Amino acid sequence: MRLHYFWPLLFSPLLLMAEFGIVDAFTKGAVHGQVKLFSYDIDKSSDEDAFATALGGYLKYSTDTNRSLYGSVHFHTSQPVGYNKNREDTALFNNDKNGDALTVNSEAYIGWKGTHRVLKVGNLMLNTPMMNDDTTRIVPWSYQGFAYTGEAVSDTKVQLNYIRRIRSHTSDEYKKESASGEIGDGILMIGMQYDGIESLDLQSYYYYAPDLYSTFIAQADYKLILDKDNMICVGIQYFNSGNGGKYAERENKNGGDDIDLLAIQAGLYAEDWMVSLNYSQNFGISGIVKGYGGLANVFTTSMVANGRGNYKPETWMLKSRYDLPVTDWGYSEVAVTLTNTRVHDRRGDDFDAYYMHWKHRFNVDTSLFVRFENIDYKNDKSDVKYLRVIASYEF
Amino acid sequence: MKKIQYTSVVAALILLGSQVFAAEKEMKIDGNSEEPVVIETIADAFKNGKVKGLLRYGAQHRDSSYQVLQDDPHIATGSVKAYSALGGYLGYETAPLHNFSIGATFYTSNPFLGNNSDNRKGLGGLYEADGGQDSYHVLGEAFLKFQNDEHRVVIGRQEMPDYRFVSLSNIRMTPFTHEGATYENTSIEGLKVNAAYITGQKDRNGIDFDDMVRSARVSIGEVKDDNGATLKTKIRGSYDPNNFDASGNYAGDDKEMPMIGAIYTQDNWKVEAWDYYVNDFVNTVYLYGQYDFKPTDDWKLSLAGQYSNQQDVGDSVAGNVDTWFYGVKAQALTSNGILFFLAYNEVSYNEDSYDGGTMFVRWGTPQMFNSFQVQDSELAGTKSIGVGAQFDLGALDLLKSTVIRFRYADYDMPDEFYMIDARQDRTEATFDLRYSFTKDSGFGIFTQMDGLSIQFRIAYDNFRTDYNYAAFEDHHGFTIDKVDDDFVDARIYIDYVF
Repeated sequence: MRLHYFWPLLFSPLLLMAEFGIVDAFTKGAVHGQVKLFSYDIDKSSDEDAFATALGGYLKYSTDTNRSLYGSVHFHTSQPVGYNKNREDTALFNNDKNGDALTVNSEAYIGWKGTHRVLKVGNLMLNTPMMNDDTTRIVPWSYQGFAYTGEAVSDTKVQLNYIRRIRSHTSDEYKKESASGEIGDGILMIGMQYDGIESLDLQSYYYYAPDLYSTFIAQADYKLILDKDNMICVGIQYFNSGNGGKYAERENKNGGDDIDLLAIQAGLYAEDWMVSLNYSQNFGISGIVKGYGGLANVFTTSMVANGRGNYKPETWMLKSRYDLPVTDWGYSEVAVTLTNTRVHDRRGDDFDAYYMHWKHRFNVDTSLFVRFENIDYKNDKSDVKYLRVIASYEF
Repeated sequence: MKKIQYTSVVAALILLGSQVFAAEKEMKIDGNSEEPVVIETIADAFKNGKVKGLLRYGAQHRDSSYQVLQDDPHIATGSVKAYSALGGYLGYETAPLHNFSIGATFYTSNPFLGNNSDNRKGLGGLYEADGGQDSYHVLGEAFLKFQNDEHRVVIGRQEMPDYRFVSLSNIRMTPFTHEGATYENTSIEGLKVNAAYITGQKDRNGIDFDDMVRSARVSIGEVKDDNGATLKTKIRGSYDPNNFDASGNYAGDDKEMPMIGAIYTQDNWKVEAWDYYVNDFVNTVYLYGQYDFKPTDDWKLSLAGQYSNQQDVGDSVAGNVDTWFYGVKAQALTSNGILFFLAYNEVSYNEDSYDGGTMFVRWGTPQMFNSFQVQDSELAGTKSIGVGAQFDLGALDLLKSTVIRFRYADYDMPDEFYMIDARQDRTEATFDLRYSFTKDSGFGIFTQMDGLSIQFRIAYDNFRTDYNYAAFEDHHGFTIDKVDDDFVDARIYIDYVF
C-alpha cells in the first residue's frame, strides 16, 4: 500500500487544529441558486433548423468569504425538456455526448485574500476579454488554473492568470483545448487596469499561449458627464495576435495568429435610454468570435451578429435601448440593434442584421428575457432567425 | 415558432405565479434561530430553504484485480485497483410552502492525489465508462416533495435511504440515487408504509439514470471453448437474445420497478415485508423480523431473521430466476457501548436459475447479515457465518470520539468439481475505525454526523486454493483462467458534512 494515498491522514492534525475555524467558515457560508427555463429556436430556410428547451440553473456555495482563506463550489446544469430538433446546435447541452443533459462543476476553488489582493486556485469562472464565462446560455465556460488580482499600486489593478485546462460551455470535461484550438502548456494572461485619470479608464491584456497564439489587447474608455442624467462615452479597442504555435489555425473564426482588429464606440447615455454607434474592422484573416473561451469582448457584439469574424470584416453597429416606465408588474427595457458587416476577403460573408429584445424584471430576482435576431446574408448562405426566451429566478 | 410561443407563455406563467401566488401563512423554525420564519410566497420558500453539503476525500486500494458485483463493471487490466478522489455533494431544498418543497443536489468526484491510472479502475470511485478514471458531476436529486405529519410524496430524482433493497450504498464517493415517485405513510401508529415506482437508478459513479434491469447488471455471461462453442452462460432457461448487445449486456426496453414495503414496530419487536417487482424481469420478496429484550439493565439483546425469494416474471428478460436466501442474527449490546453479533446466511444453489441462484442486489446495499466490506454473501449457494464486535471507546472512557469494529466471516461456497457454478471458499476479516471531531461517543461506523469525521476500513480476504482444478475443467470442458488467492482492501473517508 502506498503512502501517498494517505497523505490527507498526515494532515489530519492540521484539520483537527482547524476544526473550530472550519465550523465557523461553513456555518457562515452563503448559498446562491438560479432556476432558468431557456427556449431557443434557430430558424433557417433549410433542414438545419434547431429548437430546444432546457430547464436548469446553478447552485453555488461559498464558505465565509470574510476570512482570508475560503472556498467556493458552483454547479450548473441544463436538462432538455420537451420537443427538440438538432439540439446540439443550440449549445445548451452536452455536445460531447450527443446533446444529452449537461451537468458541470464550473467553480471549485480555494481562495486566499490578503490586503488588496486575491488568489484563487482551482476551477474558475473568469471575466477577461478573451477568456470569460459567457453566460448567454445556462451553463457557462470555466477554466482550471489560478487567478491572481492585486491592487497594491494606487488606481491600478493587476491580474495574473495561468490556465492549464478549459471547459467549454457544451462539455463537462476540462481539456487542454480552447475555443480556437489546443493550448498545449496552457495560457498565461497578464492584465492591467488603470483608472487614475478622471473620466478615463485604461486597460491592457496580454495572453501568452506559445502552443496556440498570443494576443495583445488595449482599450481606452472616456466618459464625458454632461449633467446628472446625460453622459457621452467613447471608447477604442485594439486586438492583435501573433506568435502562432503548433496548434494555431490562421483562418479559424474563433481565433488565430492573424487578428488585427480595431474597434471604436461612441454613445449617449440618458436617464432612461441610450444610443451608441460602434465600428470595428479586423484587418487580419483570423477571427476572434470566442477567443480562447467564452465570447470575445468587442464593441461590435450583438446577440449573434458581430464584427468578430474571420476574413477581414468591417462592421457598423447601432445599438439603442429604452427603459419603459416602472409599473406594478416591475420594470422593462426594450432594445434594438442594427448591424452592417462587409468583408474585405472574398471568403467571408457580408450580412445585415437587426436585433431586438424585451427584458422584464418582476423584481430583483425574477426576469423574463425575449431576444430575437435576424441575419440576412448577402451571399448564398442561408438567412437565419434566432429567438431566445429566457425565464430566470434567482435566490 | 408556435412551440416557442407556447414555451414563452408557460415561462411567463411560472414567473408570474412566483410573484402573485401568496399562500396561507406557514411557519418554519430555523434551526439556528428562535424566531419563526413565515413562509408566504414562493420567494420566501426559496430564501428560507436548507443547504446540505458533503466534502469528502476518499481513497481505496485493493492489491488484487478481484471484482465483486458491487464494484464498477469496468474491469482493470492491472493487478491493483485503486482511486484517490475529492468530491461530495451540494444540495438545496426550499422551505415548505403549503407542505410543498422542491430540491436539487449535485454530486461530484474528482481525481485527487494518488495514482488514478486507467489500469487501476474497477472500484467505482471515479467515472470509468470512458475507459479511464475521470471526474464526474451529476444532478442526482431534483424533486418535488409534499410532506405533512402522515404523508410524504416525492417525485423526481431522489435519495432513497429507507427502502432496504433500494438504498444509497454510499461507500465510494457518492451514493446511488433513484428516479421515480415515492410515497410514505405513517397514519397508523407503529406502521410505516413505503411505496415507490422507480424508473431509473444512478450508479454510484454514473452520470445517467439507467432502468432497473441495466442497474441490476444483467448479462448473458457467456463462457466459450477454444472453438467458440458456448459452454456456459449466466442466463439459464429461455430468453430473447435480441435484448442483449454484442458484449452480452442487457440492451432491451427500459423496465421500471413498482415496489411496496411495510414496517410495523411495536414495543420491542419489529417486522417488515417488502416486494420489489421489476417488470418482465424479477420479483423480490423480502421479510425481516427483529425482537429486542433486556435480560439485565446492562445488556440489550436482539434476535433477527430475514428471508428473501426472487422469481422471474413477465417476459423474463434474464431467463429463469428462482432463488432465495435467509439469515438469522443474534446481537448483544452492553450499556457501556460494546456490541457483539453472530450471524448466519444461506443462499440457494440452483443451476437452473440465473448464475446458479445468485441474488440480484444491485439497487442498493445488499441486505444479507453477512454482507461485509468486500464479500456480500449474495452469490449462489453461499453459506456464511459471521461474528463481530464493536467498541465505542468514548463510552468506555478509553479514547474519546473513537469507535472501532472487528468482524470475521467464513463463506462456504458450492465447490464440488461437478458444480457448474462452483466458487472458491473464502474468509474475510475486517477492521473499521471511525473518529469524530464533533461527538465524544454514541455513534457507529456509518452514523451520519455533521462536521468532520474520519473513517478507516481494512479487510483481508483469503481464498481456499487447494482444489483439484483439473477435475473441474475435465468435467465441464473449459479452462479456468483465474484463481483468487488473498488480498487486502483498504479504504479511507475524510468527511466534512454541513
